[in-house]
Amino acid sequence: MSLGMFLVENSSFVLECTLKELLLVLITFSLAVALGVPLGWLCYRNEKLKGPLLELIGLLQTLPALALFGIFIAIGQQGLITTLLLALIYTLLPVIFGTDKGLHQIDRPTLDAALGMGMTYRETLFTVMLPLASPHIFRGVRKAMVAAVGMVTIATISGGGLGFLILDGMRAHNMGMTLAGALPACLLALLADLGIGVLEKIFVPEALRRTPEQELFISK
Amino acid sequence: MITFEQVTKRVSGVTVLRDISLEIPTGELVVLAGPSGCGKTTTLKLVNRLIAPTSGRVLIDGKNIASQDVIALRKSIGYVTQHTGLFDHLTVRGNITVVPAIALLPATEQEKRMELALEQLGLPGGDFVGRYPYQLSPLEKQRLCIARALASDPEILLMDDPFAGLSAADRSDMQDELVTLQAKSGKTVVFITSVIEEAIKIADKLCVMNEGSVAQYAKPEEILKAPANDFVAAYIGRNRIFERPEEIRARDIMLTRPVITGPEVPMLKSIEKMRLSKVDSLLVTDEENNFLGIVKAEHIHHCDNKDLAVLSVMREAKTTAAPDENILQLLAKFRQYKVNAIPVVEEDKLIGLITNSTVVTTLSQQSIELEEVEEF
Repeated sequence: MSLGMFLVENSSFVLECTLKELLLVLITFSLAVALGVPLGWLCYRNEKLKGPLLELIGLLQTLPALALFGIFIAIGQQGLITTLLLALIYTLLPVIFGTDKGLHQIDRPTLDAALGMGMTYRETLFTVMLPLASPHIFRGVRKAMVAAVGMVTIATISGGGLGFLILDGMRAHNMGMTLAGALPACLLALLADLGIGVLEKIFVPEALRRTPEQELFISK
Repeated sequence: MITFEQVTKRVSGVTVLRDISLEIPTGELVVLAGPSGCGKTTTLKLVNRLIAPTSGRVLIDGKNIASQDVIALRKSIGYVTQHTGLFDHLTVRGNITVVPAIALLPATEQEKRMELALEQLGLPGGDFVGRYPYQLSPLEKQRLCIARALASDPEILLMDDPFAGLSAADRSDMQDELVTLQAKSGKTVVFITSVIEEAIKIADKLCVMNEGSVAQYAKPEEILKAPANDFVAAYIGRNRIFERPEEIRARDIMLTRPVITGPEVPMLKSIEKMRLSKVDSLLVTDEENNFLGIVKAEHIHHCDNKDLAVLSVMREAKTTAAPDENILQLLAKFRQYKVNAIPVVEEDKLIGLITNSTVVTTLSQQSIELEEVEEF
């Protein structure tokens, strides 16, 4: 079946999958940032924390995403939590790393100046440290977003997203179905990337945006 | 007045400051100088409590700073870090108005303070305040740092090697400006530098530190003339004096025991004395050490009767010097009177002698081994 035909017959379903996937991506992404930035800050404060944390997540990352997903399914876990957990494993690390790196590259005199002029630690964190770390944080966030789309797509192969369309389409040799899943997924990824760009303009101070870096990232 | 009472600081087993006791008088520009690692930055950071002492106390105007609210304390002290420490993500205006001491003020007041601070440092208003640090020259950045520190009009200003990144010319200008600023405002400034010339130039009082202790703490002039120990002497470089010849005074370089003779002593004996002392002239003084004149070997040689007292061939000194006269003045006298030696006289009494060679060795930057010639 061709893409066009499939879409005509199943437009609402494709739309539903796309929207579900979008929602999942947004939730995953939000969680990754909400957890990743504080964790990154903790790593920055506590070198000792960094080691075991990275090892744990690194270990989980070596396992093929699909295989991990398979294990989850096998032990009977499915649905939202599974998807989120899986995606989180791959999206947290870039944010933690980015935050930690971003904070580390702030030089000591800047911090001394902030504290020395009478800022509390919290004031320093929010008015000086995080803004200065934001370019690096966003690099991590960007990677996280790409990973989120990738992971969610994989996680939804058993339903609830575009992954389902892709895999089922392949199994049924239904090219239309596969494309109906694959193309929106790609589009979603590109849109997500654009979205990050917008967020960057909002959150990263203009003075720090001067040297944009293009990075290649191969998603799983 | 900032007081350090037996302050010791240990970090990971290393003693960074050893039992420092120091008084920084109000309204003075005190410079902490010394080789890197001597503890000057640590000492500075103790004042605004970025560092806490392991033992001992730091007082400001008699009050222990440890018992005060640290935020309030820091708001009342201006701080300029090494390497600027500017907030790159904020504009000039942003950098100044983010200072907690003025951040809570109404906008108009903030604007006023900002303009005042910029003015004090010779920075323009208008477009300038919208620029970011990356758009500023090193000199502008440095001025901005100081402006930021002055925005809250603190009574104490701490500066950690603020002029390090500047060109020699800019550095010199900033030093002059700081001295003027400090003199006009009467603020207490504690300034760190690793360049001894800078310290000497701007300090009201200079604290030379080494390995966590104060090696010497006095007016720069005093340190230059009388370094307390070998370390200080080496650190200021005996040469240091030579860059400021006005500091070298007759009393610093004179021979303190010149060979003298009494007016009644026969010439023959005097010649012998000269021969033994390896000098070609003697200074004539009476019992009360009043300086009378000079006897030169050549004058005696021209005399037939060497049994006569030296008084008969004694000449008046063409010129004498007061102990306070500096080396430049001495040089001028040597030139003007074309003499080889100048007696140093205080209230008519002879206290020393400056010879041509004394001056030459002083100026040729060799260490002076003053030849103490024995008195008979």
